[in-house]
Amino acid sequence: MSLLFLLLGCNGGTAWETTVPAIIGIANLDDDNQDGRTDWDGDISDDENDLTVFEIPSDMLDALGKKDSLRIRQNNNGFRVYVNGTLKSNSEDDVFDIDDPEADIEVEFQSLNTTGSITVVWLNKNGDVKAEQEVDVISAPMLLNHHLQAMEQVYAMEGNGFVNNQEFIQGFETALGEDFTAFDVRTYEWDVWLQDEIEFANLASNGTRLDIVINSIRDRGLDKLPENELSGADTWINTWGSGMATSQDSFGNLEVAPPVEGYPYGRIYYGDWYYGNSIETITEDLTDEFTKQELQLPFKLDVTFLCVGHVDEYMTFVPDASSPKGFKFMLADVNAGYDFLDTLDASMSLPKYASDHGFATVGSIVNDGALRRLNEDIQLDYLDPTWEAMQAELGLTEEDLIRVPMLFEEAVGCQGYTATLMPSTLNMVVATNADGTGADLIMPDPYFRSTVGDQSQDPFIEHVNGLLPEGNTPHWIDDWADYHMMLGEVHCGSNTLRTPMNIEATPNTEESP
Amino acid sequence: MMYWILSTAFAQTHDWSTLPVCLDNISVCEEIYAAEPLPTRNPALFRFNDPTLAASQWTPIHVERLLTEDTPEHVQLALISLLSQQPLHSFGVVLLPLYTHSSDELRAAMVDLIPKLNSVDQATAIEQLRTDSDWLVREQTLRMISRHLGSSYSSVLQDGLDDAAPEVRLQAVKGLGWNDITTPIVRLEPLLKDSDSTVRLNALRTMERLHPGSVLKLDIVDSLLTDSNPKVRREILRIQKTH
Repeated sequence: MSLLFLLLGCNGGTAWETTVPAIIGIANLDDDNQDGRTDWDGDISDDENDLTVFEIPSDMLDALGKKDSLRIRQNNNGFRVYVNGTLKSNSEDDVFDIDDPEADIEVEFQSLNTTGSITVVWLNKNGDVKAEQEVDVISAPMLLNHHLQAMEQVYAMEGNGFVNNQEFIQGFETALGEDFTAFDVRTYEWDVWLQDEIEFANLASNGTRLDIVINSIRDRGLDKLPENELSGADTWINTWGSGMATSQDSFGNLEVAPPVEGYPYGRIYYGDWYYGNSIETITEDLTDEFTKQELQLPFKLDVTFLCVGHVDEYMTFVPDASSPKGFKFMLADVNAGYDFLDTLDASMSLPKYASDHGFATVGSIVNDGALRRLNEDIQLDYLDPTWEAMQAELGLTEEDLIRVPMLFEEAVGCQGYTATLMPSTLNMVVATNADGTGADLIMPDPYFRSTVGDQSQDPFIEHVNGLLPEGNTPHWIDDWADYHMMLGEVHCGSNTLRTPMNIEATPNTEESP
Repeated sequence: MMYWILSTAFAQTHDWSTLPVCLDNISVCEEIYAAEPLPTRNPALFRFNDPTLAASQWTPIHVERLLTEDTPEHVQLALISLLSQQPLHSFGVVLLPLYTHSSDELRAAMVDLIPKLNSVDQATAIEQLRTDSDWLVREQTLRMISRHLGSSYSSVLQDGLDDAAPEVRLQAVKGLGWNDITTPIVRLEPLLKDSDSTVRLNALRTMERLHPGSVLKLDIVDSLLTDSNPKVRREILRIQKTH
């Protein structure tokens, strides 16, 4: 039976006059007592906080006669049952009697993707079976976070030497205060691409929570950061896959759309990069895990036009409390880009673009015919198909879309593959507030102005601010030298821990965060 | 004068310390010369992230380092990125030998500097590279022409349509459309049957750009509508819808 069916459509048997909800808990993969062993492999400690309480429904208990008793039979491996803190069953076919029906019954799960059942047996005073009730036992699937979940902490790498990103860091600190943490980039070989190294995920159900740090097989300077900076009692760090990584194995290429009809936990999407007859994509070990998980069933997009090749380079989701879906989808749009440029004076100077991109004025961009054709091709071959895929896979409509002005340019040294010409607004951090109705949006300063030091004179900033749904607060921070010119932006250089979605037996789509 | 001194320096010792800009700035030059690039977000691509290195006064040092035989390849590629932001009109003579360098990758990367050379050196480099034995070098040359030099080298693009490598044919046909270079339909039509689907797609698009609607009058429309590549099918449908 599929996990999706168990969670969304079925709560177990119907005997004993009532329906018993499935027991849903989290895999005990962390190390609550910090003894160096995964908790499943050690004894239960006082610090343990990952067991799931199973309460036998009161109407079942009320039905018992004075001398009747209960028995529990474990039907599968992969979990354990404790009564009042004592291990009672450990494997398939283990059976035990419950002397006190009011006792605390707890279930411990070995791993992700465990599904099985126990049978609660009603015995009369002679030990004969009066009734049985099978209860499904499910370990909560690993869920990746989407942008409508509340931000708890944002992380980035800081340096003031070889990498000198003090304005970038100050921008985050101003926007987020104590909700922002910076790590010393010198410890990690000046690798600033924190988005690419890790993906935050979690298990959460019935008050239990395990934060998961998926450590990419990318294995550049930040490889040891999870163990050094993010490990803790309620955190599990794990890597799926091995071997030679492609750029697509970086987690800027792994994102999650917010909940939509049929997918109350959102959907995972990532990019494929085609080279001749071969496809570079995320390691199969990880995509298999997502497919097994089912709830956030992944879909793929073609990102072959990009030099880096990550989905976070040209699209994102932001909260919109006024929208029936609760969000807006923001997508780079070349036509919107030229429409925006056409509103500006062609002679307007662009000092940052003159020195680093070879465009001294707005007119020099607008009148570059080959650049326009390059961008038209990208719109036809990649951006329009992306929007069509989002409509097909997520049920989005034109009302859900914000077309963000953007142009792309061939990246020098990348053999014709492109990056955004302006620092990509889409490549932003969405630091969502507690109720998911709005966010602090930390975006790269586009420097699309003549006076480099004066953001208030930037027509691009003014234009994009006007596109944002109410409830979102824009923060435009400098990322030009250490990120934009290095083919990444704000989102690439950071990562966001979010409050998990709670797995329920019958989640309500409308109330899901 | 500076050019002469520079050429002399390159010819003799490849020693940056003799460059005029370094005579009074020896320690600064040392730092500039020794700067290390960082990997970009694309792990295969390195760049210098220090904006001060892009100042034009340091261009001779970067050129010198690029020319030095023991400069590692990833540094050479980062130097090319850096130099692509600078006018290199006076550096053609010293850079041109790199267009015949034994490394295919270096020759291909050097293509990005051609738009920064003066027109005479551009022509020399392109003449050299258009018949390069390596398809990647020819592909990058035509890509660069398509994007930056356009109609100035239309004959190179026209000739590229017949290249043995599909990657080169792709850049050629794309460049003709990007730059509105007049090309007869009969010259483009064979590419609609190209064995490479990206060539077919771009031939279709270029034909539509140069001769709007004309492709719909060709017998090949039906086979394009059932092309094995969805992007080709999508493009012919788009053209049909436009007309």
